[in-house]
Amino acid sequence: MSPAVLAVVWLLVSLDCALMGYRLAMGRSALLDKRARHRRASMRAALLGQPALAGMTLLAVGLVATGPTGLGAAFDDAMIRLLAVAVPYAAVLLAATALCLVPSRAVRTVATVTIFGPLSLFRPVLVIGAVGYAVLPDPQWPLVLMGALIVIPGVLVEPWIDLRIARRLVLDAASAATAAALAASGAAPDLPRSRAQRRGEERLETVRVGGDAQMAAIVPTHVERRAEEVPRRREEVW
Amino acid sequence: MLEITDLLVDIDPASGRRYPVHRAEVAHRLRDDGEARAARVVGRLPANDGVLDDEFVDRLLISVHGEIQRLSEEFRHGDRIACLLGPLIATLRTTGRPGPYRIVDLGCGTGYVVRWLARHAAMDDVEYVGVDYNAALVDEARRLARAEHLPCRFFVSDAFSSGGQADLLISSGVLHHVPADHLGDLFAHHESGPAVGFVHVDFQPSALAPIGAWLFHRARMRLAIARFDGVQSARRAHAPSLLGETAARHAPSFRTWIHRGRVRHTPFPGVFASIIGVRHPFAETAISAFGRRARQLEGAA
Repeated sequence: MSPAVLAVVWLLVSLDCALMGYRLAMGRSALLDKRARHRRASMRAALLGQPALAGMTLLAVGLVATGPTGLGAAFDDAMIRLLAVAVPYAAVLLAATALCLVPSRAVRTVATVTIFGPLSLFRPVLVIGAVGYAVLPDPQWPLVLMGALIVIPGVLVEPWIDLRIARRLVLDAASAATAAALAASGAAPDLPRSRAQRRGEERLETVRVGGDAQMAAIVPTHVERRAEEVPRRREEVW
Repeated sequence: MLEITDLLVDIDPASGRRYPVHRAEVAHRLRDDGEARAARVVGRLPANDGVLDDEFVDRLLISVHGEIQRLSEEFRHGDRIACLLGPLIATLRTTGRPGPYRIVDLGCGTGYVVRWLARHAAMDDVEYVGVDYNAALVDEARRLARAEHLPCRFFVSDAFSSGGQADLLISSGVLHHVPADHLGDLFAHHESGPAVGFVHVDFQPSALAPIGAWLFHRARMRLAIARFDGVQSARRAHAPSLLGETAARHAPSFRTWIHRGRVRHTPFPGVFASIIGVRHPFAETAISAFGRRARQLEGAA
């Protein structure tokens, strides 16, 4: 296996992980200054990808060492075919990023609408296409196995985390509703406190759901402040 | 064409009183509008005896606005409005009105634009204020402004309220929420109020707008409501020509211009358009304040 080709693949996958971290961090805070948060998320995702990359590289090296003669060359060819798709994709993304340095809001808007949005959306298709293009011309089982190990996390991890975030957003809203009901009923049972609760960011409460049955709810503390404001006031003059 | 978020809250603009919203009724209206998928989304929302839970809806709307803020961030709505607002503030200073000048964002939601202006375009003689009829969104806007120590204020009020004092009115992504037959009321409110000018930014309708909106919201939004409403926003946006005609008819003391945010000499249609209005006595001053950029204002010739 060629170390140079492997290094380029490693670099691109790390970059992809970092961008995934950035995308997953977006939209989760309504504050204005989120650069540090996004930077941390990108770094964390890139770092989390390293053990997986190392594991896959070791597996590939092991397969080549124990496999038939010529498997190393087949891996190299497959990785070059993979790069033939991945490098132009990365180049378009980098070019669009460079375009955003142009001090024109209209240019940046066009870059977002025509490049960043569609490329983010079609990334899973591109991952499947790139791996298919790399593996299918020479479908030896070690190549198919490595292809599957790239496609499955590459396609499923981000939507899975996105789905969890969306569910969390809805659950938070449901917890807020539960908290309001609790605040109205005056119930405040004692339960073990998590670290977030000890820091005062969240509290755990229970709500009676019929008979003796109870349901636990994790409630952000700012909900209590809002619950206290009922009934709503209305300022007539601004 | 309906948006889900427009139907989840029923507040009387005059009294501020909130009325219960029946889930089945919202789903029925959406289904009647041909939006079966949106009706299914609403059908999954929690309700007590068929009435949507206010607290849940409020928290959900805050989450949806958090998602929608991505759009404002990526399309730089703060900067977009600041560029159009600057010349109007310069015009205000020539009117002889005493400062501080109050810039009011109508339908501010969680206040992204107001907070952005307070952070990036703070001036000694300018005060940024956001108003929204939803108290939960206003509370969230206040919390976010406090968290970043931003000099801006938020109040509960609706865009048609006559209770406020404003020198300039702004909005972003609000006009498409106002039905075409009520746009006149909005501009009539501008006419009768004390504001010297206004800037309203909204989607610009085009054949590509729904496709672009679908791509963007599918790629960026996580919540089904945000995805659906985002596409509907682009589909039901008012044509800039309609905005201009309505403003001319219902706010005749204003001279109005349309500004389309597009890349010149390219085939790409603009995603957003703005309608800008200034009281007639100050219109020429405003055009001078825009300088070379006045050429981009349709109707300024």
